[in-house]
Amino acid sequence: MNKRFLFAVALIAIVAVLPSCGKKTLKTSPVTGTITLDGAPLADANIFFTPSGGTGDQAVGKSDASGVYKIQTPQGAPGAGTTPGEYVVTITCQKVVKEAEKNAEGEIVSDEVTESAIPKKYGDPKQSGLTASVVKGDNKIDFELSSK
Amino acid sequence: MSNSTRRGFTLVELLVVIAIIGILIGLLLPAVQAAREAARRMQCTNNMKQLALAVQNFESTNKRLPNQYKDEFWTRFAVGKDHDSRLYRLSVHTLLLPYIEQEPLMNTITSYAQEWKDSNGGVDLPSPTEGDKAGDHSDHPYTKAIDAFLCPSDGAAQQSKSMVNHLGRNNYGCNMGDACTANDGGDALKGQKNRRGVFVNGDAAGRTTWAHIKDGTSNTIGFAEINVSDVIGENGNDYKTGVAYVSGLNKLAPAACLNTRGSNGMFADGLTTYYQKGRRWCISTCCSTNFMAALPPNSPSCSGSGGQDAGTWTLCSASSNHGGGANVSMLDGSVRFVSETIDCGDINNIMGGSQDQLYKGPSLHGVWGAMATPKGQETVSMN
Repeated sequence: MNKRFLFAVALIAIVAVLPSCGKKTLKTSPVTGTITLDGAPLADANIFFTPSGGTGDQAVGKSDASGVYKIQTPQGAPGAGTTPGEYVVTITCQKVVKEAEKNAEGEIVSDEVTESAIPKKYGDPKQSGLTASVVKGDNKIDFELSSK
Repeated sequence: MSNSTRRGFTLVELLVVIAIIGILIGLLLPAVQAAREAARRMQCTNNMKQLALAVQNFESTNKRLPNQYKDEFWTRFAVGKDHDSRLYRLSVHTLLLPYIEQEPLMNTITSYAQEWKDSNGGVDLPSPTEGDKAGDHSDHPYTKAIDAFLCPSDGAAQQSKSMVNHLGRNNYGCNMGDACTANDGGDALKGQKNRRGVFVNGDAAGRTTWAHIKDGTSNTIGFAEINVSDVIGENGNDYKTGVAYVSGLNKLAPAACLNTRGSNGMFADGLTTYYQKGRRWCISTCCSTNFMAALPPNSPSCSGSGGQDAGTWTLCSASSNHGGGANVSMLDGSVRFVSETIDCGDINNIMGGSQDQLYKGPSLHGVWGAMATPKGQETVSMN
């Protein structure tokens, strides 16, 4: 009886240890919010989170038509957010003003021309003036940009 | 009488034996499958090694490395007509054909080019972009499936071998640096003078010799695995194998390309996607034969201006079906496995502020970027 009991304990122990053999994943917290330019939702803007303190992982997101973004890390699932910490935030928004031109062989004669729809300072980590602190659990961080 | 003394198996005993055998087979089958994948993977890494050694042999013959786009080998056939670019757009892989025992194929290509020159552009050249047109020739050399360019672990690549009139596929991207780049035209051309990668535009940067590989051949990537797009269903929607259009790509940090990821390994809805990754071994453009070490392996690939055509800005990520990363071959012929979790440094940084390729300093894209750039005293080790 005692032997059988030991065997059962060993089995349970093995089963308990098995799941921890998997690969390490980042413990991310979802981050979402709205980006507005002069009060109006800003669509198709890329938003970058760069850690400024000792903790955190680089993450990126893109706003949809209503200006809502969700961020993700390269290793995490799309929209999974990032790890808690202090972040510098940069935002860029490129709009196409002229399509690329091609010749008969399908080669590009002139490049596509894009312009920034927002002041360029928002795309520079030293000048953006935007910060965020990501905490454990859900985060809702809005960014209000001004075209001036 | 004897019946009562004969001892048979009870039903329970039989069931227990069957259960044990079942468990053993259950344990064994995955092991067999894993062994088969291990064999495919070994073949795959061997192909990569052969490519790196082919570069070495090319160098001993020509005293230079092959160029990705407008290699000087092709300029001798130029006659100054529209179709010249069909030769200039041929890839590093095409130039390496004689060094991987495909000399007859290379002879076919050069004899067609010579005919083009002799007739002063009078005959039509086979196009590296179209699968079914051999120009004025009976044989289309670029439709040949070449085993040395195909990884046995990639199902789409293996399936492509049975396709008729499709351009031959390719699983190995040559190193074009640590940032978004284009093969020709405008700012990209200026940027290629900075040699972010090993295989650069011959028009912009001229010859590449070992002297340009300052970090040493054992510290610089030659080729990395790329997945072949599954073109049979014309499906460019899988982000590991397709390419998504991102407007203004050359003015965005590499991380922006991650935004194209949707659920279940597919691109997000509403994007324009192309199935150009690894699609043709013959051509140097749009992720067919190149990769950039900015985002970690198995990240999405993106293209900018011009979508999928020659000269478009692209950010082609390495990818494989091996799980958890991709193989790379160093220029010295050694092959290493790069994990998805490799240090990619500051992927939110667009190096140089405006356009990556114009940046001259050491790579800001971590170990991954440092392994790809041939200069800048970044002799970091991957181990």
